[in-house]
Order: sequence, then C-alpha cells, then structure tokens
Amino acid sequence: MSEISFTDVAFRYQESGDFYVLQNLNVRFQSARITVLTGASGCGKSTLLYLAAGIYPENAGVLSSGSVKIDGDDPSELPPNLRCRRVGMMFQNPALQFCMDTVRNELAFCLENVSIPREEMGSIIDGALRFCCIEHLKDRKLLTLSGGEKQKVMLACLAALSPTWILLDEPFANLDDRSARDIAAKLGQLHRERGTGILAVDHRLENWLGVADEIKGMDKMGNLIAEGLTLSVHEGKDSRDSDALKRCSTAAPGSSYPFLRHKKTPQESLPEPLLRLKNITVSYTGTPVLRGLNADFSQGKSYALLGESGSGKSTLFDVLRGLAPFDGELFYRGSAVRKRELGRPGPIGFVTQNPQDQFVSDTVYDEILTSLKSKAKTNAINQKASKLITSVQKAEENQVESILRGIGLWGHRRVSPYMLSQGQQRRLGVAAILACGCEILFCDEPTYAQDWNNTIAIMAALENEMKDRGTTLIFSTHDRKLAADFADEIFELKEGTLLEHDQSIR
Amino acid sequence: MKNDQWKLRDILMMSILGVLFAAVYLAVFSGGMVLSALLTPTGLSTFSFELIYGVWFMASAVAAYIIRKPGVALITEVLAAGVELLMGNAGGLVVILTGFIQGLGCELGFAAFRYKKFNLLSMTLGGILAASFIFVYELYYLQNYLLAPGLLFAKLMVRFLSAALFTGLISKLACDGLARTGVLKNYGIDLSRQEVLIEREEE
Amino acid sequence: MNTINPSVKALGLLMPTFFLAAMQKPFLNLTVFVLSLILLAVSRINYKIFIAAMIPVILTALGTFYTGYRFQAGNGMPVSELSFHLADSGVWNGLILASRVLAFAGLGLLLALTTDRVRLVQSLNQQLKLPPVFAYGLLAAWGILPVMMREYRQTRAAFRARGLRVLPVSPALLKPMLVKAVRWAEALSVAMESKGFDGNAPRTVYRPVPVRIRDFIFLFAVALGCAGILFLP
Ligand SMILES: Nc1ncnc2c1ncn2[C@@H]1O[C@H](COP(=O)(O)OP(=O)(O)OP(=O)(O)O)[C@@H](O)[C@H]1O
Ligand SMILES: Nc1ncnc2c1ncn2[C@@H]1O[C@H](COP(=O)(O)OP(=O)(O)OP(=O)(O)O)[C@@H](O)[C@H]1O
Ligand SMILES: [Mg+2]
Ligand SMILES: [Mg+2]
Repeated sequence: MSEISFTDVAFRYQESGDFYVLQNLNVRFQSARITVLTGASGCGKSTLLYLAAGIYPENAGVLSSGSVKIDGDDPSELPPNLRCRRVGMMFQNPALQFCMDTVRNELAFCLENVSIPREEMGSIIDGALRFCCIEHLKDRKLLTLSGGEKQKVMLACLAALSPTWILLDEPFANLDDRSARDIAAKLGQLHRERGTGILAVDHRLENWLGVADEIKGMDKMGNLIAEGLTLSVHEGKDSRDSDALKRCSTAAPGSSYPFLRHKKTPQESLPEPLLRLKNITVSYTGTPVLRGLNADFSQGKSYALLGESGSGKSTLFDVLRGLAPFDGELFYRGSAVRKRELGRPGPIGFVTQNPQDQFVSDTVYDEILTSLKSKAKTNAINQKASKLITSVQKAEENQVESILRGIGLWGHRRVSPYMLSQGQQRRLGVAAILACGCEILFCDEPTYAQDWNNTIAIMAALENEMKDRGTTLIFSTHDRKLAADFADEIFELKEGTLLEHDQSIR
Repeated sequence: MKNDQWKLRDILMMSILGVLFAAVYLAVFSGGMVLSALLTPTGLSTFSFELIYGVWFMASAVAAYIIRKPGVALITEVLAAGVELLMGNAGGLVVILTGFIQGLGCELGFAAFRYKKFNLLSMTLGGILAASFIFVYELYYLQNYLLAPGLLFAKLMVRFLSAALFTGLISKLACDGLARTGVLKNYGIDLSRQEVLIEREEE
Repeated sequence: MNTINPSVKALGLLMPTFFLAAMQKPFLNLTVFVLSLILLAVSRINYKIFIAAMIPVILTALGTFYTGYRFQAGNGMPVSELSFHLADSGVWNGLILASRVLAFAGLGLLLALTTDRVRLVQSLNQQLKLPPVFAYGLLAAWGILPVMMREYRQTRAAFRARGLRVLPVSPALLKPMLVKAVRWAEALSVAMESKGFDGNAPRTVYRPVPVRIRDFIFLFAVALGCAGILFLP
C-alpha cells in the first residue's frame, strides 16, 4: 500500500504576485483505490499532478509552503532514474512523449535509463508489449502509429518500468472511446495484478465507468470540494453524487446536454445543398485515408462527424482548408470551387483541433479585430465599396468589446492568446471565427478537453450563430452524446467514406 | 545568469531549433534554387544563396536569446549541423565543421557583450561574425580564392546583408514577439510582466 | 557499407573529405564521386531519398560551375599537363569547383543513406563518448520533425484564412513556431525525465554497436587510398 500526500500545499507559478494556483491543499491518494480527479478547466488539476510526479517545482513555479510526499519521500528530490520507479506519467499529447524511432527502441531506452541488465531487457520488452496487446507493433516506427496506438505504447513503457504509481493527465483527450476504454481496462488490470496506484485527471468520466473506485473534485479556486464520489451507470440514480460533480463542472456519465434546440427534420432543408463534396479522395504516402467521399450540407443545419481517431476527420477538414492534396470536386451553391481558392478568407470558416493553430495576433483583442477586419474586407470587395472600411473601424472596436465580454475574456484583452488556459483558448478560437461571419463553420472537436460548463458555453455560442444568421455547422467529436443532442444529422467516417447514421441511435 | 548548468530542456530546445531552422532553410533553399536557376545565364547564381545565408545563423541567435547561457550559440549550430547530417545533407560530413565555425562566430557576437546583451546589436554582430568566419573558411575549403576578387567582395557584402536581416532583424523581432507571449517565463525572460495586466471581470 | 560501424564509417569518410579539400584535382574528385555512387549502388539504400538528395547536389554543382567559369581570378591557376585538352581555363576553373561539390556530396550521402540514424547516434555515444544528453536530445528533436512540418503548414494556413499575407520566414509566422518549439522542448524533457532519463547517471546498453575487424579493414583501406593519392602524378 502506497500513499501520495499533499500537506498544506501552496503553489504559484510567478515568483512574485499573489496568484496561488493551489493553496492550503491537503489531500491523500491511496494506491488501493483507482482515483479520478476532476474539476473546472484551469483550476489546477494538472499542476497538482505534476507536483505529485516531482516535475514541479523543478521545472516551473514555486512551492511556497507545505510538502508533497510519496511514502515519505519528496518525489522532486529523487533523481529521475529512481523517481521513474515510483511514479510514471502518461501525458495528454501522444505525439510529444517519445524520443526514439521505433517502439522497441523506445522501450529499450526506458530500460537503459534504469540500468536493467541487457540480458533481461528482451523478455521485459516482450512482456510489456504482450500486456498491452501490441506485440504486432514491436518494430513499427512511432511516427506511423495512430494516437490510440501511441498511448498504448506509452502504457507499455510504464508497464516495463513498473512504477508504484501511474499518473495520467487527460490521457484520452485525443482518443476515440474504444481506445480509451481499452486503455482504462488495461490500467485496471495493472492495478489488480501488480497493485499499481492509479491517479488520473479527466473531464469525461464515461471512460472510467467500472474502473475508477473514487472520484475527487476541485472547485474553480483549486480547493478540494468533493471526495469519495462514485460513478453510477444510471443517470440520476445517485443525485447526491451528480450534484457534487456539477459543482466541479463535470457531468455524471450519460447526462444530457441542456440544449433547447428545435431540430430540423430533413423536409425542412433547402432543396439545393449549400456545399457538396463529390468523390473526395486523399491518400498519404500510398495509403488512402478518404476514398471517394460524397456529402451534401444544407443551409442552417448542424452536422456531427463521428469516427475513430485516425479515421480522417481532420484530413477532411484539411481538404477544405487547402492543406491536403486531393482528388474530387467541391461545389458551393451549385458552382464548382477551384482548388487554389480553398483556404482563402471566404464563406467557410474553420476552428482547428488545436486552438493554437489558428492564432495570428499578439493580443486577445487583436485576434478578434483581425477577424472583423477580414470580414469587412471581404464584404467591401463584394460590394465594391472599399471607401466604407474606415468608417466601419469605430463600429468594429465596439464590437470587439461586446464579443470579448460575451466570452468572459475582456479582462484578458491585452495578454497574448498563448497565455490563456486551454479552455479560454478554445473559446477565443471559436469567437474569432464567429466574428469572421462565415456561412459554413467547420469545427474540429470544438469541445475537446473542455469541462462541462465550457462545453455548454461553446456549443451555445455556435447555436446562437446558427439561429441568428442561418449558419451551417459541421463539427467533429468523439462525444456521441453531444452529437446526438446537438446535431440535426450525424455522419460517421468509416473506411474513408461517410456513412449516415440512422436516427435510432439518438 | 544565476545557473549556467545546462538542463535537458535547454539541450532539447537547441536541438528543436536546429531541426526547425534546418527545415526553414530547406524550404528557403528550394526558393533559392529557383532564383539560382533564373540567374544561371547571367552567372550570378551564387548570389541567390548568399541572399539567404543568414537564415542558417538564426538557430544560434534565437537559442542564445532564449537560453542566455554561454556556449549555447555554438552548440546549437553544431547540433543543427548534426541534424542536417542526419537529414542527408549534400555538403556531407563537413557540415559539422562548418556548423562549428558558424556557431563560433555567433557565440563571439554574444561573448563580446559578456552575455549581458541579447539585443539587435549583439545578434547582428554574431551574424556578421559568423558570416565572415565561414567566408574565410570557404575561401580555402571550396577554393573560392579561384574566383575574381570583385565577385568575392560582392558575395561577402550580400552575405553580411543577409546576416543582418535574418540573424539580426527578423530573429530579434520574432524573439521579442515570443517573449511577449509569456512562454519564456521559465527561462526568466518575461517582458510581459510590466506591460500586461489582467483585469478582474465582474460577472 | 550498411554494416560498418557508424562512427568508424564517419571517420573513414571524413578522411578523404579533408584530403580532397587540400588538393585541386577535378578528375580525382570525379573519381571519388563515381566511387561513392558505385558503393551506394551495392548498398541497401532508399532510392527515392537518393534521387531527392541528388537534385540539389547537381543543381548546386551546375551553379558553381557557371560561377567558376565566368568569374575566375585574374592570375589564373596552375595549368597542369592533365588539362591539355581543356583549352579554356575558365572551364577548368569551373570544373575544379563543381567536381569538389560532387565529391563531398557523394561521400556525405554515402554516410547518410547507408546509416541508421539511431545507430549512428548510439555509436557516437558508445565509441566517441558523445554525452547521452546530446545524443538522445538530438534524436528526440529529430523525432518531432513531422509534427513540426504539420504545425508549420497549419500556421501558414491560419494566416491565409484571415487574409493576412506573410513571407515564409517573416517574424509574424516564426513567432507561433517558436512558441510551439518552447512548448515541445518542455513537454519532451518532462516526458524523457519521467521515463527515468538522467544525463549524468550510468546506463546499460540494449544493443551495443559493435566494432569489428571489417571496420578496421575499411579504415585501413581508406587510409591506403588517401596515401595512394599522394603518389599520384
Ligand atoms: N506554466 C505556467 N505558467 C503560468 N501559469 C500557469 C502555467 N501553467 C498553468 N498556469 C495557470 O495555472 C492555473 C492552473 O492550471 P492547470 O494547468 O493546473 O489547470 P487544469 O486544472 O489542468 O486545467 P485544464 O482542465 O484546462 O487542463 C491556470 O489558471 C493556468 O492559467
Ligand atoms: N500529413 C500526413 N502525412 C501522412 N499521414 C497523415 C498525415 N495527416 C494524417 N495522416 C494519417 O491520416 C489518417 C487520418 O488522420 P486524421 O488526423 O484525419 O484523423 P482524425 O480522424 O482527425 O483523428 P483524431 O480523432 O485523432 O483527430 C491517420 O492515419 C494519419 O496517420
Ligand atoms: Mg490540465
Ligand atoms: Mg483530428
């Protein structure tokens, strides 16, 4: 039995100033119980995890009082090669955690670090791969693996090092539900077979059903406000626990999204589709990703795009942004779109999977202003009245203020977009694209790694846009519940083509 | 700096900048190739690469700006050369040597100010020194002394210009932009702290 | 060539490189280039990469030739008896410069295309005592190159989508890339350390890179070749 304990911890990122991320924090995690930690975005969950892993305060921030201990030892004082036997970590971004080229070399790298004798390495590597059911990947290059496969390799690394604790920071944010459940189940198995302590930070609890023993929750200020919650499969059965979760900005599994949408039935749609994709084919280095994909999108409707990770959702969006070379045809309002016009400012707007991919300005304020200007420019060209631009300037400045107040970022207007938290960046990204005034919006996982309240706020903003301006929305997501509650039509990307979901899944 | 010891993070930062600028260089290189093809009939094709020469010292200047420790500029350039070698660079094994020579030039630019100044002046100086060092080296190594002195001089001037533009001006502007975003806080460089205030918002 | 110890190979190929640098024999340069091509042909290499790498080499060589041809130094150069059939010494001049580019490229590609990069770095670490932080730092950075390419295209697309025109190396475009570079360095170092990597701690070796008899033979053969050059007319 092992224990991670936080005693009177106060932690802040700036050396001066009084913005403490964690203050007076007292909490214990027992290796006997698989624990999931949840809470609003920006409340300090990752910070807590990094402290437990001994990564902070070595790499960032100041621990101004209190102590973090694993069975009496301070993890940040252990040298890395001893520390990794106590705590292993799995990160959110699967692409940024490897240093070698192939799966086998990566595992060997881990074992070399802790001076395992050479003769033993082969069998440990095979055992770890077998445990994760990825023996077939042994000599694959890491680059060619999908996100889910990368996370499994990471798990294999942890299984090989066999630490007392495994800490996970939103490990499933980039994965589809099936890979997520596979990995969660493997973690449960590690826990049972070797007694490994598991502590995970996650917003979506579905994937932990039947695995997690306990949920702990934090409030916006970084205080621990809920402990000992359990997950129940049936919605509303244990209302005490789901209320407590709501206060941590997390929903119990299976909760419905509170959208008061009037869903459009197919009959209501216009006869002429706004955007038509015909026979879109994309292949990367010989392997086809999209094969002859056809789709019609009608004005004013919302479409959800489901699909396993690696099925080509982002690739489809890249086609429309002019980023992926493709074969096939596109029609907008019935007329063909030339390939080199893709990606220019125009009627189609994109929210990228990673919000940082779309920032172009130094400040939050300018980010919105750029969008408004781009919109004014396109309008002016259309109306052949460029003189108007200057007089519009003043009106735009007022508009920026109302937009930023709307997403609660007016106070942050002078900071760089990169300084915002994950959730704030996502809201800014959506708002900036909405300000462009596009007729079709493509949102690549708009609610990815968001807490419950942010998810609702983002979807509500999109909903408003559709209601006010008749915008068409196409969004990809791994959250089937969100798709069912929000979309008029659901498509699933499978084997390179779009399948329309039948209505019964709702 | 209070801590001159290099951390793993610093070395990764240097290598990543090496990879990044190797990629930028390759992209610009193909642009230079087109230009060079256009200029070939006039015999001025060598100038097209002189024009972009400064891109290659950017990795050094940027790394030194971010990490601010002695030796960073030199090692970054050598690491960048190592990356180029791994990529299958046409120049062959000597890139490591040229990397060392260029890095040394950049390093001296910062050393001249005792690693106290990381500004336009030191960055440009580093670039110019790197450009001259590598020029002297190429004089012998590529037997450039076979070329007419007038042409050599013109080449050198274009290279200086390129160094001042890329290694000096563009690197400096990009780095300042970087510092303003606040991500360099861990490196003790935080221009944003005095300027930017986050206001509490009433709900 | 594929089985020779990478460090030995690097040293072995470095030797003729410096030798050639000290001479001006275009035919020798060309011979070395052809020799490299022959060695490449008998080794296991990726021909696609080979062709992609040869295009800039040939273009550079052509460019260099023209420059040397047009702008020779006034006092000329010693015309050896080998050049009797090349009446115009401008051609000769250009040939010296261009053949050298080819020879160096040939030797460089011989190393780059027949060597596994992980093995090369491991060998540098094991045989030439390159510190592990540099060895593994370099590998990790190299590994995220595809991520980098993708992010670069994304960033450019973002600017384009908002109607902003930017040059490939403009500061506006570089800044987001640098922000990401800082983040990548942090993420990778944290990931590597949490897998127990410590630059100063002792480590074991999973697959040692061997130094065998044939490596010495290779080194000896190259040295012999270089010595032979000295006695050439
Ligand atoms: N390196 C850093 N420097 C300065 N401030 C930071 C840094 N990392 C996080 N913060 C701030 O600390 C607070 C807590 O961040 P943390 O990443 O722990 O949140 P989180 O609970 O994991 O949120 P999310 O669910 O969005 O990942 C946030 O307000 C964030 O802006
Ligand atoms: N630039 C590229 N070069 C080579 N292969 C690529 C490239 N981009 C994507 N792929 C491959 O294409 C497939 C589809 O990737 P894509 O990113 O579109 O998936 P996705 O459905 O968006 O997944 P996720 O849910 O993880 O975001 C993957 O197998 C991926 O490895
Ligand atoms: Mg987090
Ligand atoms: Mg995607």
